[in-house]
Amino acid sequence: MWFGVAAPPLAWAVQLLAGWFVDEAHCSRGGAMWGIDDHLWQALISTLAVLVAAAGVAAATTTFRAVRAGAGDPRGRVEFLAVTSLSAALLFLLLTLMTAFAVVSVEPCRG
Amino acid sequence: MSQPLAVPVALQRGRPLAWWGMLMLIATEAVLFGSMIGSYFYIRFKAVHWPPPGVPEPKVLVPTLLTLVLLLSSGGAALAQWAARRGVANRAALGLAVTAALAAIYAVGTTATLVGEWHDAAATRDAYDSLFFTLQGAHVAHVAVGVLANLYLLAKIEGRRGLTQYRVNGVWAMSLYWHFVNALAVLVLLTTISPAL
Amino acid sequence: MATVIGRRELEQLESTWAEERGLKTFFTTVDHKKIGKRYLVTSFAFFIAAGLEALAMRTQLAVPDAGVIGPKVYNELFSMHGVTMIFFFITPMLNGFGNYIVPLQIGARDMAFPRMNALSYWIYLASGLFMYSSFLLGEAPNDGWFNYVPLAEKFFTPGLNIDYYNLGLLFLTMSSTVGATNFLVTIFKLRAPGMSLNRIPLFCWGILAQSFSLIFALPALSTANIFLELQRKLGFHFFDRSHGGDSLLWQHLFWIFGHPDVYIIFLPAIGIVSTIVPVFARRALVAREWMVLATVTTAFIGFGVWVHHMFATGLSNVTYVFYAAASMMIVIPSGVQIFGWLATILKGRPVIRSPFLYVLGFIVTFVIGGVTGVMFAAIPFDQQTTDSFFVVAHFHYVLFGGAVFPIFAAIHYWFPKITGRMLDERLATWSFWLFFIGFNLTFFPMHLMGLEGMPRRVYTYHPGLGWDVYNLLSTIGAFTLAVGILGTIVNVVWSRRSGAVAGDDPWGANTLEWATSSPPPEFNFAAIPVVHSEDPNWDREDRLEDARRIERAELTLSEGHETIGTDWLDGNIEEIHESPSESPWPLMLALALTWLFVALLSGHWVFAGIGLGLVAVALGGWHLKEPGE
Repeated sequence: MWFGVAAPPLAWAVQLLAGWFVDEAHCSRGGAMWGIDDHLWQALISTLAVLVAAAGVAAATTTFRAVRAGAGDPRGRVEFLAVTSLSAALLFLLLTLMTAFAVVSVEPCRG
Repeated sequence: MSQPLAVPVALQRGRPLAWWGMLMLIATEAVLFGSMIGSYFYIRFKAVHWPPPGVPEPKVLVPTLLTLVLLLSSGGAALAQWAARRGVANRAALGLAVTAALAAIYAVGTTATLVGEWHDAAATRDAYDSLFFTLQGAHVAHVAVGVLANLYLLAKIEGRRGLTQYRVNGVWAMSLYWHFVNALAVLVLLTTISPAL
Repeated sequence: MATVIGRRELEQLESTWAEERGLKTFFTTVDHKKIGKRYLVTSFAFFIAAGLEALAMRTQLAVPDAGVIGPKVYNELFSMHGVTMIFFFITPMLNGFGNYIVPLQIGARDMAFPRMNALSYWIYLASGLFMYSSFLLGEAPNDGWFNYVPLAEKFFTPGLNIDYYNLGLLFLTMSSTVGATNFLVTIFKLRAPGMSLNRIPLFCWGILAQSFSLIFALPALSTANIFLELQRKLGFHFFDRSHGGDSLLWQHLFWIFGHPDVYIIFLPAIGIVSTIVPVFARRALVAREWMVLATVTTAFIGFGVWVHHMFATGLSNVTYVFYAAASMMIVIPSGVQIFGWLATILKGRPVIRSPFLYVLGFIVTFVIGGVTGVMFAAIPFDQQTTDSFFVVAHFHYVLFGGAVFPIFAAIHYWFPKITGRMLDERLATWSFWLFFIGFNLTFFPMHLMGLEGMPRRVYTYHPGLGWDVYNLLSTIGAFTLAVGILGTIVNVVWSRRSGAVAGDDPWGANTLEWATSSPPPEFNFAAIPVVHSEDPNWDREDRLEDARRIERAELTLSEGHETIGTDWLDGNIEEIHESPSESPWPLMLALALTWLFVALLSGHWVFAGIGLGLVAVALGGWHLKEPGE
C-alpha cells in the first residue's frame, strides 16, 4: 500500500529534478565538458519515471481492490489511503507521461 | 497523573513529542543544507574551471580524518539514548560526554583548518571560496550547538541528581540530532572535496 | 453539572488550567486561544498598514503624472506592501485561526508545544516591528518583495534597505518554522481517540499541508537571505558574475520558496472553505477523500513549478517544459475542489449567511484567478505578459480571492466561537458587497492595463497610452474596497460588546470546536471527546456520551495540566501528555533574538556575539524548570 502512496509522486519528482539537472549540465559552460547527450538522458529518465509511476498505479489498484473485497479497518483509514493513493497515482502517471512527451520533443538550449 | 478509561490504548507507547519536534527541525535544516549544497553544484556547473584559476584544490586528508572522528560520536549518542531509556543515568551521562568530546574535537579541528585556509584563500575572493566557507561554517555551527546542548543535559543529570522523563526525552531527541549532523558531515565533506576527486 | 463527581472534575480542571488575569500573564501566557487571538489582531493591523500602502499607490496612479509620490518612496511602498501582505498578514492571520481552532477541532487541550507557540508569536511581533522600523530611517526594503539581484547587491543599493529585508525575513522565518513544527506534531500526535487519519477535519489538513510546505520551502529563502547578507556585509560572492557567482541563483532559491509560499497561503484558506461549505449547505462534503487529496497533491506539485516565474530569463526550453507541464497539471486538484464545493452546495439545502457570502465570493474570484494562471502556464503567453499589470491582476485574484475572502469568511464564521457573540448580519452583508464590488473594480481593469502594455512597479505613467481610464477605475475600486473592510472592522468592534449572544453552536456545525462553549473554557473540553466519524459534532449520541463521561470522571484528565497523545495513523491512545504552563522564557528568547538581529543589522559584531550569548542563556532558562516541577 505504501508503495502505491509514495512511488508515483516520487517518480515525478525524480523525473523533474534529474531531467532539469541533466539539461542544465548539458547547456552550461562548465558541464558541456562532460559531453552529455541531452535527448538520450531525458528519454531514459522519463521512461524510468513513467514505468515507476505505472507500477505505483498497479500497487494502488491492488490495495483498492483488496479494500473493496473487505480488507479495510473499521475506522476507514485504509480505504481512505487506498482511494487517495489510486487517484494520486493516476494523476502523477499522467503528469510523467505529459512531461516525457514534452521533454523529448523540444530542442534543448535556446540560442 | 490521570488515568483514562474505557477507550482502547495502543499496544506500544510512541516516541516523545520532543523527538517528533526534533524530527521536524532536522527536516528543515536538511533542506537548508540541501539548498546550500545545491547552490554549490549549480555554481560549479556555471564555471568552466573549478576551482577557479589560481585557487588550490581542497585538502582531503585532514577533513576526512576529522569527519571520521565525528562519526564515532553517533556511537556515543546511541549509548546515551539506550541508557537513558532504561533509566541508567551514569551510562547516559557517559554517552553524552563521549559524544560531546568527539564532536568538540571535530569542531575545534575544522575551525582551525578553516582559519588556516582563510589566510591563503579568503571567502571574499570568489564564489568557490564563499560557498566552501559558508558550507563548512554552517556545519561547524550546528556541531557546536549540539556540543553545548549535550553539556547542558550532562550538567542537569549530574548536578540535579539523575534522569527525569523530560531529560530522557531530551537525550532521545539529541541523539537523533547527532545522527543527522553526522550524516550531514559526510555530505558536506564530499561536496567540499569534490573538486579533488 | 448534575453530579458531585462531575462538579469536582470541573473545579479541578478550572483550577489547574486557569491563568490569572493581569500584566504578568500577558507576557507569560502559553494558552493557544490567547495566542491565536493575538495573531489575529496583530496580523489584521499589518493588513491595514499594507492596505494603506496600497491606497497610497493607487492614489499616485489614479491619474497620469500625478506627482503625489516620488519614485524612491513608491519603490518602498510596493516592496513593503508585498512583504507585509505576504509575510506579516496573510500567513500569520491563517495561523492565528489555526492556533485558536486546530486544538479544538482535534479535541485537544492545547498545542503540542505551548511555550514554542508563545515564542512564535513574540518572534513574529518582533520581526514585524523590526521590519517596519526601516520606515523610521527612510530605508525600507525597496527592491520588490522578491528582491532580485543585482539591484539588491551592495553596489546598487548601498543603504540598509536590503539588509532590513534579509535580516527581517530570517528573523520571521524562525517564527514560521517553530509554528509549522508545532502544528505538525499537534495534528499528528494530539488528536482525540478515534480520530484516524481519514477523520481529520479539512481545515487541519490545510494547516498540515501548509506546515509541511513551510518546513521544506522556508530554508531555500533563508539560504538566499544568508548568502545575500554575507555578500553585502562581509564581501562574500554568490550572485555576482564577476567573481564566479550567478544572478539567477537568487531567483532559483527565492522561487523554490516563493512558489510553495502561495500554496502555504492558499491551502489553509481552502481548508476554511471546506469547513464552512458543509455547514451552510447543510450536508457533508461531497467526495471528501478527494478534497483531502487535492490539498496534499497541490502542496506536493507546488514544489515543482517554480521556474514558471523565470520563463523570461533565457533558460533552456527543455528546462522550461518540465515546469510548464507541472504548472498546467496543478490546476487539476484545484479544479476537483471547486467542483466538490459546488456539488456540495447544489446537493444540499444552502442557507445564506455572511460567512457563506464570502465563500461564494471566493469561488468566483479564485476561479477567475485560476483561469489567468493557466494562461500563464503557456510559456509564449507568459513571455509576453510577464512584468505587466496582467500579472498583478492574476496574483491579486488568486491571493485576495483565494485567501483574503476565506479569511473574511473565517472572521464571520468563528467570531461567535471566539467572542461568544454574533456579528450583525445586515452590516456584514453591506460590507461584503462593497468588498466584492470594490475588489473586482480594483483588479479587473488591471488585466486590461496589462494587455495594453502597462508595466508593473512603475511610479507613474504618461497620458495618452490608453491606460488612464482603467487606472482611475482601479483607484475608485480600491477606496470602495477599503470602505467594505472598514464596515467589517466596525462590525467586529461593535459586536464584541453588543452582538447577540451566540451559544455553543449557532451555525449547527459538524466540527468539534462547536461541541464546547463560546468562548471555550481554558481547558477546552471537560472530557476529551471520542470520535467515530468525519463529522463529529453531527453525531449527537457521541457528544451526549462525552457529557456522561464527565460524570464518571473518564477521560477528564483533571489531575494535571494534561492532554491525550495518540498515534498518527489510527487515533489510538498512546500516552497522557503533561503540558507546560505560563513561562517567561518565550518572551525572553524573542528579546534576545531581537538584540541579535539589531546588532547584525548595524554591523556591530561584538554586540551580535553578546546577542548569541543571550540567546543561549534564554534557551538554558527555558529548559531549566521541567513540566511537573
